[in-house]
Amino acid sequence: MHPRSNFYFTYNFAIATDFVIRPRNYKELYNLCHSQARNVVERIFGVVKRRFRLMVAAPEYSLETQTKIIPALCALHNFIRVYNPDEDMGVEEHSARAPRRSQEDFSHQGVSAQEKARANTKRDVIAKEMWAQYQEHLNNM
Amino acid sequence: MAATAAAVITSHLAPSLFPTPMNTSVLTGMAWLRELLTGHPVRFYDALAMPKHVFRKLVHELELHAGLKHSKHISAEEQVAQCVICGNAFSTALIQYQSKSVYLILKMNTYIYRIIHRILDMVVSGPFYNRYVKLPPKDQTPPEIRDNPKLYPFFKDCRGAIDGTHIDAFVPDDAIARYCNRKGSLSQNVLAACTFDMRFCYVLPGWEGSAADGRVFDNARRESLAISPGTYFLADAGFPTCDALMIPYKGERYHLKEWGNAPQK
Repeated sequence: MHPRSNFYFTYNFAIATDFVIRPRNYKELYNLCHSQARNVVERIFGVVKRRFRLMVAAPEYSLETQTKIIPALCALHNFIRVYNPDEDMGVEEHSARAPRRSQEDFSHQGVSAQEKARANTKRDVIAKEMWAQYQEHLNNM
Repeated sequence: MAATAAAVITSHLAPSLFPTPMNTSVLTGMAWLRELLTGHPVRFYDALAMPKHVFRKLVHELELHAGLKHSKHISAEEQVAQCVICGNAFSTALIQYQSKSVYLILKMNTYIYRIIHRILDMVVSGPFYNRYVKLPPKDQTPPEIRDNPKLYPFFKDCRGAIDGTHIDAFVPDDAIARYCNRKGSLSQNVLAACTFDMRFCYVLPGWEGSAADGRVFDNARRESLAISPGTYFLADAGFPTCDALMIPYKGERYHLKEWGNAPQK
């Protein structure tokens, strides 16, 4: 977890005070943890787009070349991460994006109803375990 | 009064009317690169977006794995530098790199164009690309999860996060409708997965901006994205519910902003 991430802040703050609203149920707690862990993918886009301006410049190459440029720059980014791991990414949260499409529903033909049910159960199990630990934490305070 | 106004206007406008040239080195080509390589590290970083030792390593790796060679007129280092400069933030460096003489610019452009394409092909070629962009090992919980008591052991099978991002594209007229995204600009939708140590582990470019993340993912899963059974990636609500992904509960508060701004109880 990135040290600048405000995960600990939000989470502990939510636990420690009554100023910020606490997660009200296991779903909200799960979503809070999920959003913090998932944040890495939004940050990495921010980093690469800032490191290589070609990513945002829409260069006047053929579409074929434009599709090649993206993985090439991603590979270069990885390369630099491997050989220069201490580099300060200097990234704040890339939170410019508004919550999107949460209510929209896509029909995903690729997923069977059975798999969907299985995945939902797995998520419920995780969320409820989190909730149990959180309750315990609150009781011990 | 009028004199003051004139003075203010002049002092504000002068920098933009008479800009001071920044990259004024008289050197071009290999001499310029050599100057950078022996010069100040920050200057090198500004021009090539990476420290010197990483650049040397990159040239070496490309020689080793992708068949990069010194050509008749231009050294391996110079070829890579040209390509990286092209992708880098400081495109002024490219102009610096070329020459102030129009003749040379024209001549260099065709050279550079060919060289950039050659290096680009090397970087995305299997031997180099697959060494640096690969899915994380199946049976190893990422340390970023393991060391975080809020996430471990709940997300122990999680290997990273996946999302689509829109990259602005330059599109020929006949494809504009397909590349037009929800916001009305032209883009390609790039699906990318990354690990918690900020490395890409899967990139699928080339989808039209009008394609939804879920659809791109469905396609990726059928074609090339092989997430090991038993592990999963975190994704947002635009992705399908399936074994390989863990998505948030819909209709509940999710984004941190919503948490921070929530009304007090």
